[in-house]
Amino acid sequence: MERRIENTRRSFLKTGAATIVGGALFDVLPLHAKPAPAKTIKVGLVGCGGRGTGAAFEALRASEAVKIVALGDVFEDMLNSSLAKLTGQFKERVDVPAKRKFVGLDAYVKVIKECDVVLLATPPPFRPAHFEEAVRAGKHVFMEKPVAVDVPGYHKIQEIGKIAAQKKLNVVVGLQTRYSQRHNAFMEKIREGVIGDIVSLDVYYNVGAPKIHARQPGQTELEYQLRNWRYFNWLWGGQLAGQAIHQIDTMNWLMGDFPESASGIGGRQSFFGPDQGNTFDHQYVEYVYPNGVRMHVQCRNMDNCAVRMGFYIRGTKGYADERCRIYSADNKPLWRFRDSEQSVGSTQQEQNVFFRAIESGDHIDNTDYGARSTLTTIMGRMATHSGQNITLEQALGSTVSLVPERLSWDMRMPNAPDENGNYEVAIPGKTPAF
Amino acid sequence: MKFLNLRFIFLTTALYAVALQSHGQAQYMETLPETGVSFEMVLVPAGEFLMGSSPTEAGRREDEGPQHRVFIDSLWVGKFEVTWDLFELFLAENRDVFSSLPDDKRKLVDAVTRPTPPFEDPALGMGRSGYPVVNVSPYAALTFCKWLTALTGRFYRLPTEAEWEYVCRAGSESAYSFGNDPAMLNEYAVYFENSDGQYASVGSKKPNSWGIYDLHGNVAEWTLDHYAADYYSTHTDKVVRSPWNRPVALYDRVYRGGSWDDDPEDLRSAARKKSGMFLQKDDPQVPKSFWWYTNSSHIGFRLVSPVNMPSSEELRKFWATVLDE
Repeated sequence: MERRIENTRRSFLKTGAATIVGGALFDVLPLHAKPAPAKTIKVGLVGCGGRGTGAAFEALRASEAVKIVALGDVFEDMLNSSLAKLTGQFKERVDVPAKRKFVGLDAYVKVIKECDVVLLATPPPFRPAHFEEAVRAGKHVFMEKPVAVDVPGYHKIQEIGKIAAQKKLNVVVGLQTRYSQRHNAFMEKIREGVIGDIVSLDVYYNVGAPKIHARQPGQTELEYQLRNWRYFNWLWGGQLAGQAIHQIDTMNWLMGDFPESASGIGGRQSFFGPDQGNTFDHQYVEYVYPNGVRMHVQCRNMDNCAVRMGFYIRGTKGYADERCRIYSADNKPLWRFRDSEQSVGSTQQEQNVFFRAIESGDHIDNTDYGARSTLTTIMGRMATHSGQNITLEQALGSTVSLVPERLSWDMRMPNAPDENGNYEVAIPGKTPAF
Repeated sequence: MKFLNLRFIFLTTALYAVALQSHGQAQYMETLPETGVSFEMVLVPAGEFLMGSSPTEAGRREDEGPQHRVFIDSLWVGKFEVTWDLFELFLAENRDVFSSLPDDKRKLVDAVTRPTPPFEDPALGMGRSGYPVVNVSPYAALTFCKWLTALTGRFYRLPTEAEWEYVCRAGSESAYSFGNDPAMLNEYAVYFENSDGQYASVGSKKPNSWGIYDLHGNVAEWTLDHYAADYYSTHTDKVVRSPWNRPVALYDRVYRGGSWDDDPEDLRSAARKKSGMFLQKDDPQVPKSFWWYTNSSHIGFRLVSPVNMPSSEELRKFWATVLDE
């Protein structure tokens, strides 16, 4: 079979992974084989949660030149826990004295001043402002997905992205599937036409409920919501933006395009009361691409239910799934990718590519697809929350901002709880889309 | 062989267990309290065998030699790889299942640390009931053994690398337990060519001559040993008794047997594989999970239980060593 020639562990050993899809994207050289760094790259982290800390580790592993010099978070405990983990493994290359530990709502400004490269990993409503600050200051940016939670945020990211491009700043967005060797080989195969023309796409993101962080005495409402950000639409963007975006972006990547309309349904069946904010716990969205192909997305945040994060790509001659298996229409296996024992994970790979671009003077810019896939998810949420069919053109005209202009700990919250502690939840047919 | 006398004996473990027979080997079934979930163990006689492969074996690698003689004590061996049905009872979310056990036993069982389920489906949609557990670290597999030991009163653990090969060979000295011809693999093993990219239910192919299934293929299997390429050359005895290269670090551990994702030469009785960071490469957590591996959907494990049970002090020492307690 063809796959055995080009795609076995043995051939990886012989030829190196780069031969599969070309280019230095999948360089598998171990760190110690790389030349010693010419100069230090000062890296700052904004948002010291699990993902941000993970990104900092990956940055440290991506290049020997990287030094973590500043951390910022709204919560001191998060910052200290992140710093302890980083120092525990990379003592010499983590140089964050008390004066470069920044706690507070404006910590990002201070972190950005201290570094050459910034990793932006807070909840997404703040990303546009953080991106703007970093690019205006001339810093390279790695930013987590999604990059915004509303349309004004989307426009801001695109506007700043143009300035970043003019300044030749590198921008990498944390949609790591685009950096996965397995998925690149898989896309290549599908583009060769093994399953014919694409006719339909099914996407699944059915997982458990986010963890609840109990309300603490003395906590302000903003602090409570930030600790429970995955339960609030304005902080998470909903499950489409927060989770399903990985598969949705993979489909956009495959299609080389973005949906031009969305319709859908959704609601809260298992989420209940003051502890579970205002997000929907299940949604279904039907997206239509400009060429008429439909993408059907189902997502669920409920415990003790069947779990699937994946997709089916259906073509005129066959189909493929998230495990990168390709079948003929009559279910015969046609191709599948075999994992390489040498390759690193795709979140590491995206940092490797990012820092290689910075060190070599190349230019890499993920802003456009990062922003547009984010917009796809926002358009889907508009459809499920309002119950209306939404076109991309309508969505782009939305001026509804979910993010308060000025943040302060004692601010009036955009979605304060009612007298019983409950939050206002979207009702399709009543909640406006715009 | 005196062990065959066990055929109709009701074993006096603390739990329901019954002696059966298959392929001429004595066996018993252990049923866990409160659940009805059971598993079968097959008796493997003590014996001597030639470990490793000869330099002329097709697909052979350097670390499979030199061949040397090894003695293994008799032991009970899982007829099948451990399934999700059994492993899931060990997860923290199922703690309440065993709450009605007698107090002394419950305390013993509750004292074992237990993993919470991972964020992602560790079975990756390949199926749960009747399918082998995968994506677990050797630490998780061994802690599971400790829990199962507390629950059943019988010592369960992973096999050593030598025990594994002894059981796999079942007296054979060929590349596979059934001979040297990879064309026959389809009858005995789930591997790359016939797997459709995922594991199969345990026991879907023919067993070896001792009545034990899926040693070649389906999922590869964790062993107790630290991997050292030159380990075989360190032996000086004419017949090495129960060798065990004790782990000194989280990596590299030996896993054996090849899997649904492997080619024929990786399924050979002598083929050795070592773990590494690549089995956790997609774990976004810091630190990476002790329990769950994100990239080992081709590795599970099989239980063994020595016929001669260790003393409680020996048992304590064993857990302290393998779990770094």
